[in-house]
Amino acid sequence: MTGTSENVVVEDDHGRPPENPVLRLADAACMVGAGAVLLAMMLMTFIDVAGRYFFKAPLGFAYEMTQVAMATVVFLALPSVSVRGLHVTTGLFENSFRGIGRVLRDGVIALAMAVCCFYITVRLARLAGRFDSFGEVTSVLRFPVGYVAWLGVGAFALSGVMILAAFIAEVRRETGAKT
Amino acid sequence: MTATLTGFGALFALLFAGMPLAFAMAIIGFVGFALTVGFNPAGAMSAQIVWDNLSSYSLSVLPLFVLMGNLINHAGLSADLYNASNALIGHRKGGLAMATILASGGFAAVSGSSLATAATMSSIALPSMRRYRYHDSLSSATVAAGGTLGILIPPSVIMVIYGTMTETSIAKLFMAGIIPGILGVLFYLAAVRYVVWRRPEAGPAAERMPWAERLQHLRQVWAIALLFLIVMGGIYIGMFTATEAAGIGATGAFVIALFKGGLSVRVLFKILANTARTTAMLMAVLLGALIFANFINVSGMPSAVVKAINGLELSPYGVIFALIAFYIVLGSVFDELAMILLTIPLFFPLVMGLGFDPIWFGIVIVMVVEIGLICPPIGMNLFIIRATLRDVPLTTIFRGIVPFVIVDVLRLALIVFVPWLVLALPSQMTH
Amino acid sequence: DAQTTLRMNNWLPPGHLQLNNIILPWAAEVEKITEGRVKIELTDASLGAPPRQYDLAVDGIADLTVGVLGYTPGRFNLAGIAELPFVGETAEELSVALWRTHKEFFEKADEYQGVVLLGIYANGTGHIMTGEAAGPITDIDKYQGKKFRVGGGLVQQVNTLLGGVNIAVPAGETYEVLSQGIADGTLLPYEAVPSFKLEPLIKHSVKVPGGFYSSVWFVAANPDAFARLSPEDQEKVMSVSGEHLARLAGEAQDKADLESKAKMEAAGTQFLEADDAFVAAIKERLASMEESWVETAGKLSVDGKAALEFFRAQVAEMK
Ligand code: NA
Ligand code: NA
Repeated sequence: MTGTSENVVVEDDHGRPPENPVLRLADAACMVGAGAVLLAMMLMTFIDVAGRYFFKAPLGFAYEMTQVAMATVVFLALPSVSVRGLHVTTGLFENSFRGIGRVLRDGVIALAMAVCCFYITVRLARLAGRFDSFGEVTSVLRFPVGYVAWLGVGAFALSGVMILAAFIAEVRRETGAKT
Repeated sequence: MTATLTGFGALFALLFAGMPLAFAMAIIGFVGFALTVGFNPAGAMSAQIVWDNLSSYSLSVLPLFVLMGNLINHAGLSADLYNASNALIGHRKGGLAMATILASGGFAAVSGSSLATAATMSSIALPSMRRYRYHDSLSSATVAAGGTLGILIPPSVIMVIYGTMTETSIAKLFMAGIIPGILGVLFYLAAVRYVVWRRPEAGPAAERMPWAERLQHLRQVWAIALLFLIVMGGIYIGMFTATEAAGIGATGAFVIALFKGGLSVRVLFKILANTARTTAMLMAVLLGALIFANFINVSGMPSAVVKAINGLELSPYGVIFALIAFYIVLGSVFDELAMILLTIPLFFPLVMGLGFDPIWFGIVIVMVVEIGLICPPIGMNLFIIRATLRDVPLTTIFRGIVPFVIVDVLRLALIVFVPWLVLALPSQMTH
Repeated sequence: DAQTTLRMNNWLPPGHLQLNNIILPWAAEVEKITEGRVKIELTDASLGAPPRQYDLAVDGIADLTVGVLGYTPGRFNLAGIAELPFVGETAEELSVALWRTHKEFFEKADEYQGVVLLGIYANGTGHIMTGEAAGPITDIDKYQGKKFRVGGGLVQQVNTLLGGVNIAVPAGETYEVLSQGIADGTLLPYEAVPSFKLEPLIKHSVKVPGGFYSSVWFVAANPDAFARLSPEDQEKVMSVSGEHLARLAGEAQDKADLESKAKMEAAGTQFLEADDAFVAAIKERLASMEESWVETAGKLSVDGKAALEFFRAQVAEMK
């Protein structure tokens, strides 16, 4: 690691992309989307402030679109974080589990995490359905709030799948290493 | 009270078993809320926490400031910062270590995270300190301590989270961090000087550079200084809000990276993707903590704790000292982000009830977290160094950090007794 | 008799008018009229963001909630009648007229699904408030291009139609955007000014006679929680809600408006009233709002024109 032009932070938190080709594609597609929206959010804030000072004409929708963009970025990045095992742990006694004990422990945790994700999927779907039925929209652009919530529904479902996939990959590596 | 204590116990058990923070807090929060209020409401509450906080305007400063730091780092400016500091004072005894502190302070001015600051500096500064035969205990401690400045010198992820949870102005918190941050740099420089005074062989001097070369190195860092000036100056004089400042800062860093770093589409994508992932990691932890906080809220624990502490009849400062001691103990074994998220709902109302300033308390909390980051046995920054210097035993790193923890405690005491140091800048903003 | 405790979510800052002068007195009345059988307990901290208050009641996360209908644009349309320009000035007349019109025209449209609606009430009318630099807005030309910090709901539309620019930041940031000149002014009822400590920043306040805009609050109960009360107690709770609550809230807000106006006066705010030409210009530019509200009401099978006539008659009766 030279540390001059290549960024350690960029290098290090990449994690491992999924092995399954379909999930790999989904991971890449989500991250292209998240990156594009993040870049757009950055430029929108800049244009909004510049517009306000130099042309006395802020965008007007910057506030609500920042909210939409923020949710979109996190939703799209969540499956990637899940499949790459990037969720923050305290790292206290994690290494005290070894071999089969470790695989079992990871299995229980992965299952619990996946159940969490699927449960949030169901509850978020209910919320999204409510936004749709009430016709809730943002106040300036009248953008339907439900769309973003449905994106979240998909994101949590995919995250649950990704967590299980990551665990299966771990089991494969473990058993592969032994035979 | 028993329900809450059981909840905390179960939470620690899950964390120790290795379950990610976000999920452990969400699960315990959900179960606790379900037992107190009902299963269906608990589910609806969890979904709403997810929705409300992800579509939050003020939290959008997180990805934007993380992006700014990543872009600056890509442009190679973090290395430039180190080279410039080095040109300035590298030739003195302990000079490379002091340069590391200065460069950390500089990088902290564009990065919101202590871990990012420590990780960046460890890859840049550790190799050159090794080259000059610095003792590992000094070089590792310098990088770990310098890294903590990342959350005190604005921008700061921890301040954003504190501001969001307590509805305190993020812009004012940023301003409040500047003087304590500069003090932090000075105190760490003093700690380095102390170490090399006691053991000169721990930090030998490097060659002195000719002035022409020094000036050339210094000229490399004007862009970073200008960016900090625009972003924080803009907040200070009221050109824009914290969120807008983050957007401006990231755009500025983007332009710098384009011109200086030869930003290719592939690298830009990598930076954006990593920023998005870092944001999602932070937000997941925040969501879990908020679900847990809602369980604490309906459990009646906050009123009970306030009652219990009032029952002790401590003076207001007595309460503050008790809290600081509690935080330092907790911080030495616990993750800093989780610590803040779990305790703020409990302690913030109490401290406000005693008449303390929310901005001041926020800075005190950030400084306590800083200590937690380098305080053994569990200090995240120490682990980052350990990941870079795999041949150095943790005990060596622990030994080196002691002087830095001591100056941190002194600085904290100064801030507690002289609140003006914190409030001078933000109080100027409103008039 | 067994006592039933209802958990009411509290998201308002301590000392807020809505809390101290409306919700707590109403809760005390509930407790009194049910002879202590129904007790209302506020949460230590909010269980959800301001726009989610209605959903908190639907899902039973809290038993009772209070919130602002305009925080969820597009969701509730009929009560927007009280937010329209030139329908009334004081909080009391707007609130009572709103409840009566709700009972007479809106209830059958069944907009408030999933909760037991205990009350809806309106703020007193908002005013055109500006700082030193912008000067008083006394005609429509001066309004053009001015940047106003606005809250949620119809006020954003009002401002845009009049030629202003919306600065939509959270209420807590109003001081910041005004003191920093990001906004030239704000559209608010008097009552909200001291709660955000804006008195020193507001130099001019222009009143639009007949009413400028308002925003509507609701109080809702979770149906299961409400069903825990005996039918007799349910009736008693309703007797201090509805129009009774509208009047209580209206009076409290009107009183607070006057107190706040006095504070602003003491801090040096200049009070003006829009002249006929300005009023005519505002009427012309905002006429479409009433039309579009009538149209929306029509889609919900409500005779909007008749409702407006009824609403105005109620306001006139209370003058
Ligand atoms: Na920083
Ligand atoms: Na620690």
